[in-house]
Formats: sequence, structure tokens, C-alpha cells
Amino acid sequence: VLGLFNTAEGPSPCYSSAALATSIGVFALLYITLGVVDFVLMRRYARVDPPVVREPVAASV
Amino acid sequence: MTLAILWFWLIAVLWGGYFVLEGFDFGVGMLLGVVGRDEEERSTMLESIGPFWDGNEVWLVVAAGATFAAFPAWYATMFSGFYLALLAILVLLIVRVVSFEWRERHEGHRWRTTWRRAHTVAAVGAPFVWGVALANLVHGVPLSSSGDFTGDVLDLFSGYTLLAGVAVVALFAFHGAVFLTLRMRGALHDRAAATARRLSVPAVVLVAAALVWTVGVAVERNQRGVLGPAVPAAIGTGVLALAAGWARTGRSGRAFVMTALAAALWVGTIFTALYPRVLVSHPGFENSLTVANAASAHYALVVITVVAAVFTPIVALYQAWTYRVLRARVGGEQPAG
Repeated sequence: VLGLFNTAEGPSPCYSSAALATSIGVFALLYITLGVVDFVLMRRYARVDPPVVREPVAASV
Repeated sequence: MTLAILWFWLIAVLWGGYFVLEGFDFGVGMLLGVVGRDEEERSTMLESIGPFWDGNEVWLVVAAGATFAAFPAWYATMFSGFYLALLAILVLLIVRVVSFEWRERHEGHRWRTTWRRAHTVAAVGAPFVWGVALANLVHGVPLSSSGDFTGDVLDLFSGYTLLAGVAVVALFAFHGAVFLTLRMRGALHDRAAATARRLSVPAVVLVAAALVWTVGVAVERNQRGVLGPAVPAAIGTGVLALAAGWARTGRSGRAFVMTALAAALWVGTIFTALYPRVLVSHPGFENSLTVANAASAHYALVVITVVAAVFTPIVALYQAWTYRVLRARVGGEQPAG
């Protein structure tokens, strides 16, 4: 909060900087992994040709 | 009744809704490798919760949001003190969500098996940590006079809180197995019913032991009388025993109502054991956070009460309608006629 509560006062006093850095690292690693897998999946789908749509056969009279 | 007390019980209701609804989602996830024999059957099992699971998670989001709005001091201390536990839950929930979406994106056996296993690990891990975390509210954590958590992550683990975590896993596994008997057809239904029968006794024993211990912890650490928390604990144990009986005789509908009630009464016991505190301090009981000293200002409570009164019925009706529209069984042979 501007002028009332600074960012430096925000961190939990019970956790060390190492614990906080590790948790941020875990999150970063998780999201980077998910992002890479997502990109590979999207690229794979983008390269697949669209399914062939067959025209309905006109009914014989 | 003040608005702060009303919101304490509303938050209990939200947690109860989350345990009832997401409980069977977690249970189905735990049983993917037990009830399903191949990846096609496991896909069918996931279809049974596919339309519901994300809506069910909203109850958790609302419970956390309501805690933030109504009891900011409770929210700040709990999310700070339980930070690593909640981080673990967040990672498990993210993995679970991704496994829903990505498992179907590739036909490879290894790919599907990997995501199925990831889903099962998350479905076991998240309820276990929730059980540990909620039990810690009553069991107590070290707090300073200003309400800051002064312990470390190991303070969250004790014999009681570990039993609570295991009991929640057993309860949800049983709840999920009974849910599958309502949603599956054919061989999947038969295997789900057999699994529910096998899980019934361990679930009753573990939940009963954890609830009795909760009453003892409430008396010892929260200065509560026995009667208050003992009533929901006894009813919870009783309805779960009824669920076990009905699951063993094939009355799945009645068994499901009872496992749902047991999940709600688990939360009811925790919150009854907790009241009038919201987070017990141990050691240093005088530092405990209470409904009175952790609540928001009156104006904030009035605003969120009006918002909740307008929108909660709409969301509840919408969710009930979703369940009604998508109530048909899945998998197996279509019944004749």
C-alpha cells in the first residue's frame, strides 16, 4: 500500500530468503516445463492437416 | 449473532461444500489405477467428473476469498505460516489440472500413463495436505503476540495432523468409489462397487480415530468443552458407518448421500472444535487468533454479506443445474430401451 506498507515489509518473517527463493524457483521451473510442453503440443497440432470434410451425397431420385 | 460469527460459519459451509464436491473428484483420481484396467476405461472414469471438477474447485476459491475479505488477520497468518504446505497444494492442483487437459492430447501409451500417474499423485497429495492443514488450525501453531507464525514447516506435522491427512485421503477414496458406482455402467460399475466395499471399513476406522482425536485436541489445546465438537464427530462417524453398510449391500445412492454428509461433518467437527478461535496458538494460547480479533471492519462485512446474498444462490442453482443436465451414467453398454 503506497506510503503505508512497503514491499520490503511484506515477506513472512518465519521463512528465510533461501526458502522463498527455492519456492519461486520451483514455480518458475514448473511453469517453464509446462510452457515448453504446451508449445510442443500446439506446434504438433498446428502441423496436422485439417480433417477431410466429405460433401453429402445427393439422394437419388 | 454478529456478522463476524456468521462469516466464520459461512466459511465452514464453503469448506464443507469443497470437501463434499471435490472429495469425489479426488477419489476418482486416486482410483484411476485401481478401478480402470486400461487407458480407455480410465478416460471413461475421468469423463464422469469431467464436467464438474473445475466448478467444484470454485468452492475452494470462494472459501479462500471469503477468509481474505472477512478475516484478513486469519488469512495473513494462515497463508504465511502454512506457506510451504499451500505451495505444495498449489503445485499438486496445477499438475492435476494439466493432466486432465493434456492426457487426451496424445495417443501414446507412455504419455497417457505418465499423466494418469501424475493425476493420481496429485489426487492423493492435495487431500492429504488439506487434512494436515485444517487439523493444524485446531492443533495449534506457534504464533507471536502480533499474530505472526514463528515456527517452521515441521511444526505442521504431528501424529494427530498426519492421521487427519491420511483419514481425509481414505474418506475421499471411499467417497469417490461410491460416486463411481453411481456414474459407471457395466464392468467399471462392478469394480467400483467392489472397491467401495473394500475401502469402507478402513475409511470408517481412520475417520473415526481422527475425529475422536480432534475432540481431544479441542479440549486440550483450545479450551473447548467435549460436547460441542463431539456431536458432529459422532454424527460424522455414524453416517460414514451407515455409508459403509449401504455400500456393502449395493445401495449406492444412499451410500453416496452418507459419504457426502461425512465429508461435510468432518469440516463441521474441525470448525466446531475451533470456535471461537480461527487459529489456535500453541504454545502461547493467549496469542490465538479469534473470530473477534481477526475479523474485518463492520462495513466490509456488511458489503460482502450483501454480495454473497445476491450471488451465492445464483452460483448454487447453476451448479445444481449442471449436475442435473449431466447426470447420465457413462461407459459400458447402453441399457436396453
